[in-house]
Amino acid sequence: MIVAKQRQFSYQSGYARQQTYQPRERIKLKKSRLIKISCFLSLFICLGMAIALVSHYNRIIAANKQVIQHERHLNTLYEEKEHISIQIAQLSALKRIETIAINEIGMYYPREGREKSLVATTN
Amino acid sequence: MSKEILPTITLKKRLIFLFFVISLSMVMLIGRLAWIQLVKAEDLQQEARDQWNRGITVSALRGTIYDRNGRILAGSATAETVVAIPRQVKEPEETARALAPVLEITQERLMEILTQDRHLVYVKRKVDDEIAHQVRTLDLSGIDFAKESKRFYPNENLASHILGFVGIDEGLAGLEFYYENELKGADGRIIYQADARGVQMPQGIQQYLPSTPGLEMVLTLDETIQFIVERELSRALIQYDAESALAIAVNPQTGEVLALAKKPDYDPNRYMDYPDTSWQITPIFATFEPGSTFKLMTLAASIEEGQYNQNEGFFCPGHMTVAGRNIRCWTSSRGGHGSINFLEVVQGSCNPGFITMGQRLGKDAMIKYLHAFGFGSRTGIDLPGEGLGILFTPEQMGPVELATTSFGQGVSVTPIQQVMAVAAMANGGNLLKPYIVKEFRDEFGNVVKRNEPEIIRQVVSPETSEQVKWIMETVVKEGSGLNAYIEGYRIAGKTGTAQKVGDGRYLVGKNIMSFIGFVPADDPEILIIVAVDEPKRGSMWASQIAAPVFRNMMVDILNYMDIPQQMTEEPEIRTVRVPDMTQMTVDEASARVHNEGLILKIVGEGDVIVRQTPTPGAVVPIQTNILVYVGGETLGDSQGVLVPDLRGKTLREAGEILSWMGLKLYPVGTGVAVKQEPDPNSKVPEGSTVTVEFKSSVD
Repeated sequence: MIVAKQRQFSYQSGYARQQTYQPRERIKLKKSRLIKISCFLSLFICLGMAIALVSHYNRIIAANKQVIQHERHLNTLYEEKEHISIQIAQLSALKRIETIAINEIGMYYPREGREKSLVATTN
Repeated sequence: MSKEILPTITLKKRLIFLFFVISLSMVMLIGRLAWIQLVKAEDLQQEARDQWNRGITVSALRGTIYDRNGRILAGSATAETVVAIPRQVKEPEETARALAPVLEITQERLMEILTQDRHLVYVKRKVDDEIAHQVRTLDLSGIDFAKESKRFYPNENLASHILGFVGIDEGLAGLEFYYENELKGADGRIIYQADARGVQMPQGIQQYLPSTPGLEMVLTLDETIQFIVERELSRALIQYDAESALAIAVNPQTGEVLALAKKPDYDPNRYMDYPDTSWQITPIFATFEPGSTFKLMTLAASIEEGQYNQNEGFFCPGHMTVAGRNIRCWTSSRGGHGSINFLEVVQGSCNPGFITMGQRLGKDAMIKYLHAFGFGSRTGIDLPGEGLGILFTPEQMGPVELATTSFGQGVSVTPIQQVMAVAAMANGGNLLKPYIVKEFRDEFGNVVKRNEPEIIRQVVSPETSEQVKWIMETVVKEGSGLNAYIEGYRIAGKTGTAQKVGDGRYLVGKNIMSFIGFVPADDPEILIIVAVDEPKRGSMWASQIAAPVFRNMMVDILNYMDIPQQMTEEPEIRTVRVPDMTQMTVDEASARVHNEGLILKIVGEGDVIVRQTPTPGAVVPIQTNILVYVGGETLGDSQGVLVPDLRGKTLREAGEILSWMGLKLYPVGTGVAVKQEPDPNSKVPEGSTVTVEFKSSVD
């Protein structure tokens, strides 16, 4: 009897087994992992995007800094140019040239030359 | 049972009350948050930005001023400004003590600056590089530097009256003042984010707002002509020991000012070292009696009205009585011009002749032409402080006033008014508006604004203009302007000698000598007025003082402007026989050579001429200097000779004078004598050497 019962149990049809089949824990486990993975992935993507954004922002700032430095440098060069222009103007001032011509080189105006030759007899 | 229910109800009530309190608090908080976030957000954000944003001002460079050929007359460059951050100054007293001698500020004042409750304070602005270096070497905590724009005038005194100068932040005189808005530009800023201590945040946002430089200004002025004019004025100032000398050069066809100068002047780089009276633009500001140069207006009006006949005879007895008042001619001491025609009236600058012309014109026509020529109103030149001049009103002008006005007395005009009036006579009759700024350009060289010649009105016809030019040319060729004559060129001009007025009367011995002329006479390219104020040496005649100054200027300017000689054949050297002037007074001798083309150089003190060189009868080229010695007692005796005053004399003249006295010359330098050893009037043995220091006008 006991055997029969056992046999009966073991001869349970596939359909019945199919009927009683419950894909319980294995499938549940898969979903949770996917969620975890997708969460992790989203987090990773977000982090990546954040890093990319920050790095991009950083690069913009660095570029901005460089641009400003170049602009300041340009401004300095422009100021230097102005300074040099003034120095050139100072050095090419007619008064300076005439003073050097008269006092250092010994040049004189033609009318002064005439006067000089006339007074040569007085000394 | 009731004992259990009562606490529960109380508890519930309390809970409800607490709930409402918390809810209300929450609502209030949310409301406050909404108020902050929605209503006040922008203001608070701005305040926050202001707190963390710091800015450095990038000062705009002031627009450069160029002459007509693009040469820099005024430019800007950065200079260091010493600033202090009071919170960072550790020992204010010590810092003030260290800075005081370098910055030339008192310690007390520095203490005031360094202890101010401000983030940043100026200590001294726009210091020289050398001072900035010295301050930097001190290495003081809380002392820093900022860069600012500083004005430089590379030619120093050249055109100082025109250019003016800039104070700390704005133009204070001349063109710098007049065109402040165009020249100043707009400051820029560098904005950065800083922490509470003011330190720049490494990743903070930076912003650069560039400065906009001021507009570049191109003048009608020519640096070389300006230089020549100033050099000759300086020479005249030394030579004649004058109070001042001024000149204006314009293009009479356009009204462009080519040069405008007054001596003494100032260096705009150090304007504070000079008295503020020296900053005045005398050529456009000062008014004075024009004297004989004003006769040109009477002449032009008479020609225009058809009342002038150059061949008509006239007799000048040396004076003329008008409404009971005796008005003298400058020839009164020698009995007047005598019998002459109206061309000679102009050539000889005869006062009675011009009074007659004025009387024929009448009061109304005279006033009409004076106003038409621009007298009594501003010319509109683009410089600050232009004078107006003084004319008689129709009610004030009686016969005497009409008579004096016709030969340039009793009226007061500015030099620029005279220049523009004569320019109208020279250019075909158009009164022009003078201008000194040709154009403005932006930083990229694009012309933003341009000034063009502007005709105010037609005053006289081209025919009248032609006749006036021709008559003025004869004045230089044969009349009182002979000392302005230049071989090969057609020069038109007129001399003017006017007594200065003070305390309601004419001041004896205080004169203004002027000469106004233009070249070439037929198609003028340049017109110059020269005025020498209160010369103390030499003859008191414009033909002797102002005309030679005009000539000296013109010789170099004509060369520079490359104006060709008009007389193609070899110009003959014009000569003149030297008259005997011994025993004449200086005034008589001056009158004698007034129209001869000779220049008197007076030596000694006194009034009567005792010796002259070249000797009477000698034939010399025109414009030769005649040395006349006055005061016989100074010629010397057995005990020695008196050393003459050689100041203002050239090397040749000094040598000549000393050789008369039996003295020797030891010259030092070139130019005009400014100092001598032994001093004038000291007695030295014959044969002694006199050391004379000569100075060039450029020194």
